Amino acid sequence: MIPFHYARARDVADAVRLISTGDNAKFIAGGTNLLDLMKDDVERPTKLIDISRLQLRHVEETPDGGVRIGALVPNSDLAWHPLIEQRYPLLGSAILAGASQQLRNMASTGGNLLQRTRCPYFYDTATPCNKRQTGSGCSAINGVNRNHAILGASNDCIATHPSDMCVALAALDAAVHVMGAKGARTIPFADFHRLPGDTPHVDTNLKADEIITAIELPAEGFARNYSYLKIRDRMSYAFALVSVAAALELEGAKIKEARLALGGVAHKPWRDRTAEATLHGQAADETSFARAAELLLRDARPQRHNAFKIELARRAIIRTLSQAARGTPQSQSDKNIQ
Amino acid sequence: MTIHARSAYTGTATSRIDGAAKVTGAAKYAGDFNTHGLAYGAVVESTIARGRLASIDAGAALRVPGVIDVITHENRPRVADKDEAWKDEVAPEKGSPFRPLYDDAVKFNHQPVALVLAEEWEIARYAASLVRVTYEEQPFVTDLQQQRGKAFVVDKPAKPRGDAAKALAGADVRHEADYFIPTEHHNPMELFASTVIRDGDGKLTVYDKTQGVQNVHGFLCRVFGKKEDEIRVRSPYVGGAFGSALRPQYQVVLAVMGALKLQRSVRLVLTRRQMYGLGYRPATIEHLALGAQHDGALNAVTHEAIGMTSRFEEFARNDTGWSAQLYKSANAKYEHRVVELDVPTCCDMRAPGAATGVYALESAMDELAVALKMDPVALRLRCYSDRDQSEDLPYTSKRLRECYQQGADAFGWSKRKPEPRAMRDGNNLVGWGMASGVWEALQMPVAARIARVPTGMRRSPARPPISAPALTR
Repeated sequence: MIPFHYARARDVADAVRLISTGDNAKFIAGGTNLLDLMKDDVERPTKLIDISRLQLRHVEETPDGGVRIGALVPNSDLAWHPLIEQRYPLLGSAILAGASQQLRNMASTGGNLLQRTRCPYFYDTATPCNKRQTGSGCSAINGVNRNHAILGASNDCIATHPSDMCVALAALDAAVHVMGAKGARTIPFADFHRLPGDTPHVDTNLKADEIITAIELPAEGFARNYSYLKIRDRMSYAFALVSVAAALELEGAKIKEARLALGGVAHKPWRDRTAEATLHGQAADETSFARAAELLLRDARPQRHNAFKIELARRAIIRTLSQAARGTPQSQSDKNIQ
Repeated sequence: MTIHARSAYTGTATSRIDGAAKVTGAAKYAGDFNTHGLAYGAVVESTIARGRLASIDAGAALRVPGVIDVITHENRPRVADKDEAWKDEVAPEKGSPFRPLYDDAVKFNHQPVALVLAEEWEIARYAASLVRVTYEEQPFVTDLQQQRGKAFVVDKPAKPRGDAAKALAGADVRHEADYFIPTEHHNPMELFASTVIRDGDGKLTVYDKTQGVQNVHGFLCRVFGKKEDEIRVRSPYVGGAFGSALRPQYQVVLAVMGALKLQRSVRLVLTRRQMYGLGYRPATIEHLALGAQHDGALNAVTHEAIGMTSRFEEFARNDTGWSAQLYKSANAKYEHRVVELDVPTCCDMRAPGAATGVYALESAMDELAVALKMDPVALRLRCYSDRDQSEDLPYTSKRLRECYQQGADAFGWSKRKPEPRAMRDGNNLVGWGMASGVWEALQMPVAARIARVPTGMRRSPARPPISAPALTR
């Protein structure tokens, strides 16, 4: 491990001041991803700024009926928080589909958004990777790419975003509150993560001197008709091949509003508003769901080893929307698909 | 005596002698042994599969405070230059064993090319990341499927019987297919490690992760030109190996090199990633062609195995020998070939040859059963043999017929619906299958020495009468 300096931030303003000093400084909260990256020589920060003691651990209702989640709320606390369980069960379900209990205990809400891809070439410093070293090339494009992107990839990077939680946050139209040297701003969730394009080393639109302070959920939580389905190589402790967050608002047998986001398929949680719009006013049945799936996957392009993901995604979308419509969400403890 | 022991222990729970030590963490593994003034090693590996080391720049690593030395092929202690010295007891017969840090040749990816020695493990590991290696790269091949055409015949396969090609052509029903088994790495829980403790008189006690202390002992004595009593090898516990610790691995050579060069005690623990540079079960293509009569009687078996080995050693295990034994067939032909790749030499893993060869044979038998529209258990019974087909000798024991019956009864096999997707449990599709296994009852002469020590008497510290490896595996 490379020697680094350590500083503990007193408050958010202090954290922003410390990160703005230049250097290759990084915030550390739970450290569940950063420490691995440091041990593997992928990240080489010269300074770690410990933000784990900042007062950002509250989950509270907002005046307009939403919920504000402090950036340091541990993933496990968030998943089991009464407000989340009752009003945003899609979020809780997605969190419980990811990692292990121990990791969820350590991982923070803000950190979950900022975790890096698990593309094996990104971790293997002996291989070229545009995300790790700009302009060095992408090893995955001609390598083993079974678990890589089928949507929104570029000629420079085909990595996927690993988070489950973020897929639900995308579906729920969350907003990300950040604080930087120039003050506070709010980033809509859809604009937070980026597609790789020709700058795959930049995962998000968070600026270098900014810190995530909170995630805000709007009032509508789709608590009645939702489901999060994660398809993976083994039933536990594995990243998604394909995951689907589905949320519906029904009016009788008709769909009034639909939300659909996918994980494991792109460089960011994949949301397609055209596919959602096609469901509006339609019957909540497999025919409608299949049409939405076709639409969402219209531009899907397989890599050499993952053509199966397109069909898998199509079926997973239909299944998850059906689970949501029935009001029988996928259980994350009984992992048999319902 | 034997009978008493059986009735006393069979079917009753008995604590392992080493159980308490293992679950309380008191059991010491190779990397756990400590001594005053221990130096720590970290390996720098090659990042190419084939070529020559053009340069190794250890300058930045040596400047890190706490780094003692960086050993490469250019400054290592003297080692043997004959293959006989490097051939351990279970080395493949043909070839030239890998010699770590011997010269500038790079023979596989993850090959050790330098050893950093430091006062602390973290320092060694950091410094290892600063060693800059440049290569003269050469074209390499690592893909068995691509190189299939370049396979050459190895091993003496079982004798052919009759004319398999003719019998296959004349069979009522045929099944022919390739079965592919990818490379499997052992990567056991305990990391490969060696702690070399240097005594005042310069003698070395080597705590090594190995399944064979005598093998490692002889190997180290030959490689480093030491007398038998100058090196002692101990391996009180092995935290999983599955065959991967049968041969001395490179970390024990590097750890001893470090101890000799520094004249002090050294510990070297490989990382989990580095363990992918050790032996593994070879990827294998198994080609099966079966021909049967309408009633399921086999009359043609052709089994061809295509495995892989390194360019420098010829490793092969008789994959086809098992299909030669199991089923009755008047006509049979077997062939085993391997492809040389730029990879480390494969090694034994759990039932080498059988786990792969029988898997393929049994898959082919299942598919033949489908082609015959026959129950897969009935097909096995139809082809059942009480004699080893290859040697035409009776088996020492085979109760497979009774076993099939017991299994079928316990499962309710008669209720099985053979059509795909015919059985469901909720949303889960359920499939019932069966397969046979065969493994040899290996027998060889062994000598054992047991000393009965009265309670309270101390064991001689110089030479304990009971070697601990006998307690565990």
